[in-house]
Amino acid sequence: MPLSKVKVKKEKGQTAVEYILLLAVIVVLVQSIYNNQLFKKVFSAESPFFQVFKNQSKINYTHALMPSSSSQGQPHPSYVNEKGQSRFFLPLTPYPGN
Amino acid sequence: MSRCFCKKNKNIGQSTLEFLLVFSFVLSFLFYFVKITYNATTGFLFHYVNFLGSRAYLVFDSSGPLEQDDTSAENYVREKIINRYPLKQLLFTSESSQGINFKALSPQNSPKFIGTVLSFKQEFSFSKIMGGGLIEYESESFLGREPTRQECLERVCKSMEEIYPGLCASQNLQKFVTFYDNGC
Repeated sequence: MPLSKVKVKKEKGQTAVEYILLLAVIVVLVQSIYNNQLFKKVFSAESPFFQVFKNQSKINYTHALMPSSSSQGQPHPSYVNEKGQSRFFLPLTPYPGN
Repeated sequence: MSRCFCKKNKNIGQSTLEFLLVFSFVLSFLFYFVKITYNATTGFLFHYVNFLGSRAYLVFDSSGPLEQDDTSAENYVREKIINRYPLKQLLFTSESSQGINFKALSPQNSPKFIGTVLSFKQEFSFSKIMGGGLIEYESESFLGREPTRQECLERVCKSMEEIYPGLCASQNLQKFVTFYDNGC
């Protein structure tokens, strides 16, 4: 058989096919990681991890100091002192009075 | 000896790929803190505007009827102080979700906490993966509210009525007002 008649298969499109397949695998991998509950627990808008930072940021912004864990649910320490008295200047009687 | 035509894998793109992965992580981490800083800076401006509003609310006197005076004061502060500053442009959120809300706590409605409250919504982070989402910040300033001229007039008149009953109904109240202060 003459050498010129031997057909050699070309491998020209192989890398492109490999690239597409690999890309598909990577996309599936990223999707599965992104939708994983464990991943969402740490990296998402509602994750408890960032929720702590959000709450701290919110309280710090309004009150400039964090309440202690023992005073949770009580009026904020910037509103009342240790004796439970208001820190605000208030009139003793309603104004105008009789 | 046969010559080997084995293909040797090149590692030329590996460092670039690693650099891109690490760089994107570092950038997102960096911007997380940049956004927190930006939120704090924006928040200080809101605090300042609210404080200005609270000062105006403290001393505003429309010389009108007593029942409408607190409402007039609230409207005045909203229009002349709060709306004067470009607060909307500072927030990276759409106008509908900004939630900039101003309210005044009047002596009648809130006897303990008299002052102004300015709240707004802001994105906590640029990316949702890094704890993004709206967070509502609230700025409070409880400077109180001075008695108005009308309020003082009524009090002075009530005191004088103990000596001259029916005085307030028969006389013009304005003549009891002192010139230099609000009459209290």
